[in-house]
Amino acid sequence: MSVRARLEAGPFDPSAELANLIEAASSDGAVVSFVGVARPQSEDGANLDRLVLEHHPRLTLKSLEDIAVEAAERFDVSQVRVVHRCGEIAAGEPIVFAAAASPHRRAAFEAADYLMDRLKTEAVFWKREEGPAGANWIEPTEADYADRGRWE
Amino acid sequence: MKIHFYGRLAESVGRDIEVDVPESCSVADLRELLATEYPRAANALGHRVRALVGDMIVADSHIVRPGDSVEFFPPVSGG
Repeated sequence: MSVRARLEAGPFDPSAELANLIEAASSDGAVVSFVGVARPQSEDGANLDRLVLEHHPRLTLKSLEDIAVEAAERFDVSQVRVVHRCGEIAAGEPIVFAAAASPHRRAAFEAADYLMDRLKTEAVFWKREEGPAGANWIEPTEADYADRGRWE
Repeated sequence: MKIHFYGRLAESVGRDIEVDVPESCSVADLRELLATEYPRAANALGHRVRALVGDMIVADSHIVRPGDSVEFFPPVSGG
């Protein structure tokens, strides 16, 4: 079992993260990964230049670690990975890499789904979209909280 | 008492402020005091904003001490 969570202040390469995970999971039968990308447009269609993720100096990384550990405990997985950006993220850049490996595919799919539902509502970040029309704070939606509730 | 804000609260109030609090001041009392002093933040200090003392989430009934540092968290969101 290997569980790793990382906070990145600069761009990261999801394909390298996936390659490392596949190598580490050579005795497993399944690897599932999710990559979240900064959108070029807001929900109401306004153009965006960047997403800004403010973080907490002590609690943000801990929240990522706690979510990753709880995914590992809950599902029959051998590997769990979370890489999450903070700071300024240009539209089109990856924000998050969440992945799991397991002997059989179902556990890896479920673990990745669970990781993202928890990250959306519990990872300690404050998210602001910025574009030519101004800035807007983004908070979890009712749908995000409902998705999180599926695992209770 | 030192108060630290994050996210949209930091934008409307400032990142760090200091306030004088009475004895036996609860987190609920502190919210009211801040809403009075910073009317722009009154709505932003609503029920989904959590208060932390010593990196632990505390209830509104928690009594804060003058030497405490209190942090207010708007709803968090990653991914």
